[in-house]
Amino acid sequence: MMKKVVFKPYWNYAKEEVWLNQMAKKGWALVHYCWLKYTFEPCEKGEYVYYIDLLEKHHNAPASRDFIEMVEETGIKHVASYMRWVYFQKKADGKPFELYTDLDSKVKQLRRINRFWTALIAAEFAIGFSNLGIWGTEQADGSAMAMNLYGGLLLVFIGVMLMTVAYPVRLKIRALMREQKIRE
Amino acid sequence: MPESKNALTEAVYYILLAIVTPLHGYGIMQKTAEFSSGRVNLGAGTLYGALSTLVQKGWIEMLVQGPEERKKEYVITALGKAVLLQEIERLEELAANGRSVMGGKR
Repeated sequence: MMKKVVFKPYWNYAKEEVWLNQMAKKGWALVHYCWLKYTFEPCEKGEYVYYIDLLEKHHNAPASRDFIEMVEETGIKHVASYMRWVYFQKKADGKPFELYTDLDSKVKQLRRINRFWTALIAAEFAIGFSNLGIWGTEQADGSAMAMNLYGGLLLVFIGVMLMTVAYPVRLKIRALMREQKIRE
Repeated sequence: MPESKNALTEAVYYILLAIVTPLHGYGIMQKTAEFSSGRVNLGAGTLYGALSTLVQKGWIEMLVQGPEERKKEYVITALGKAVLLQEIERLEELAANGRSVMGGKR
């Protein structure tokens, strides 16, 4: 069967999900993902919809397997996983593709994603700034290495990029929590 | 006796009610949709999260299954039933007060 392979880096799972759904609308169904490599197979235009979810643990952990099994019981297909991220596929039926259907679980899930990004951003900044610090002291004793400067700047830049991705998630959490004060 | 008098979420209420007779995950979703005439559709993520919390609290338990049975079934415990009965009373109070103030038929 004719396959299409696309290499693409994504910062933002929400944009990635939009892209996968656009591909499906054009007749390309994601069948595999691994290290920025997306493999598609032909499908009817708009036959499938996709949903990307963040698990609590690595996708091979027993609790994650249990969860994926329960999702599959409902007719949803698990097409790929990458560390804690999973890619689900459902036959398009006109209804929105949701795994979290009440305020409680929506907030909980967004918080999990927010925690994931906060940890990642903190790591980028910590390593980035310590590299810049090393470069600073090297500057003083005349052994400055470009790697520390550019590496540091790159990591700080990635940290800032991730902050712009994480911000909408925080806004969404805040809006849902406001709603939670008066509704379940 | 149940430890708290706080309201249950709608999802938890219907999950407890659905597994008065043992059911597996998808069965619980179908039963909940049936109870509410399609109004409440539990997502798999919502259901999974609620089930793990309820097992931890001892309100429900997973049934031990034979090796040929792949799907996990859940059933309410005595504690879960007590919580559910208490919640039904609370809901009746809410509905009765609503009706007596706002009118409407029983």
